[in-house]
Amino acid sequence: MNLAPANDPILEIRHVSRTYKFNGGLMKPAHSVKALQDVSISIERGQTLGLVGESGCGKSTLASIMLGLNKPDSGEVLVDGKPVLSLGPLQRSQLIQPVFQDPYSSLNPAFSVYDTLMQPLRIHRSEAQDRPRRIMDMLDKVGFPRQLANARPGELSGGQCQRVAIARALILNPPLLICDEPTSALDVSVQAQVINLLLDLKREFGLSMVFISHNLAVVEHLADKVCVMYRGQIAEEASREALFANPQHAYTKELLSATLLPV
Amino acid sequence: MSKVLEVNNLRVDIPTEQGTVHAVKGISFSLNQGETLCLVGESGSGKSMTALSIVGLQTPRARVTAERLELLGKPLNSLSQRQLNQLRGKDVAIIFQDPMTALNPTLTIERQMTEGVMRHEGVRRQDARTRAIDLLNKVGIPQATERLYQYPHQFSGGQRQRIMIAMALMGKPSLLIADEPTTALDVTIQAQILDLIRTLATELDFALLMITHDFGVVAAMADRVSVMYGGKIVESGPACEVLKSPQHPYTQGLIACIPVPGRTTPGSRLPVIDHEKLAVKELS
Repeated sequence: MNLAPANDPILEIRHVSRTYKFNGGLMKPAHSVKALQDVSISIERGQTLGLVGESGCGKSTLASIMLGLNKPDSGEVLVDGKPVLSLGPLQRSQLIQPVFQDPYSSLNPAFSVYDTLMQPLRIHRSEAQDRPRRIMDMLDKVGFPRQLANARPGELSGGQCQRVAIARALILNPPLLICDEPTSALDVSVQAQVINLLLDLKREFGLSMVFISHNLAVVEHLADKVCVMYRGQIAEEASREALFANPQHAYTKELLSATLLPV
Repeated sequence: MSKVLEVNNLRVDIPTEQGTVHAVKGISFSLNQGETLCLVGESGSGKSMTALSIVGLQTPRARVTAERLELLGKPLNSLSQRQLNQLRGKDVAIIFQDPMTALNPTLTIERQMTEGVMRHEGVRRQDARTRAIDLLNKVGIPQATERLYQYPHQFSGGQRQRIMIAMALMGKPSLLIADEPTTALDVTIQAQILDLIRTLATELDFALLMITHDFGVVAAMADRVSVMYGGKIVESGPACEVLKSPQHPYTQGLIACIPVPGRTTPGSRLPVIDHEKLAVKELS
């Protein structure tokens, strides 16, 4: 769908830094944590970026900054050429959408699947007669059975919930999806289904993706380009082929050797 | 090699309002001293129910029956709660998936680690404490003497799992059950924890029953593997053989669905498990 020139970046992260300050308590001195230090990344249209690193390295802080949910201390994030912080929530949610790790806690347990998908359409005042059809089409696309549209998250399996979360993210046709460890809470067999779904959607919609994970084998399968983060900085940035053929940073090598393979 | 655990025709039935759920449908396996058996399957396959019913921690309404369910020759299914309590934490210990919910947030590590041995063996607090410090050192918690008096929230996820392991080993168990001990952890921490469990298993020579859904973990840990599907064991064998030439289509599916750099083509669809086909095959 996106036929724009391939070198036109959909997402640009420019020199982003973020420090969290903690006020001292009764017995504790005040301290600060540098979550991100001068991080710059750009993603071209249709490209999938794998963002890899251990917990606490700043991946999720970066994701929330990309989504405009968290303000950087310095630097800026451009989505589709526009600074993300200059966009209102309506505009922003048409450009960029998240999929989180735990599908049970990211879906409202009181909403049926249908209501969950209806919410964004209602907020964005889409054509009222079109809404049911768009919801059903989207459910078909993510491989979720239509007859379960009235089920609530508690009645669904983890893989089904993650499909609903992906459907909700895609129903407004955003060009960019931020997936924050979307498969690490799932069984390996369900992980394979979600990976296949993301691959299909990428092909069908020309979707650009940021895929955050600590599993390098999954990243190798999905990503075109990989950034390895370590302690708030980009330790290594390379194309998939280059990174896996010849990892440079010590931490990348450690990650590669820690990935468990059934061989 | 002496037999630590013998399970013969174990069944777990859970009565619910919608009828009885047959969570485990007659499975058999045994485990020798120093051996590691991985029980592999997806959520709902009955692997965790199996682990829990061995130590009598299944939901109260579940019915556990078995022709034989013996730990070190003692029949677990005919013991009273009181007798079971004398085994748990001493002969058999268990590590759970999420160390934060398995530890008591309001008690110091010291209290939680020493409670069991003081009760089981009647050792004095001072001796229990020395053993706890020893084990914390062994599982790689630095400054164990000071950190013993801290609370669970003061440790990272990986450290908490190390503490769980140390706590499980306080009573020098003959059987350690690990129910997905690394699923909640990062890959690098996962590799460290598995490495630690393997080293300890060799050093202390306990039998290890490891529950997992990931054949990557099997490859790293197991001597033998049993694959569970729909409450039954569909394939068993030495881990290297099962990994190299899996016989059952479900096992083949579980192995093939994991992307492997160099084996799977990046960007290609991964093979998924066709449950409908499998269910037909299992019923016929």
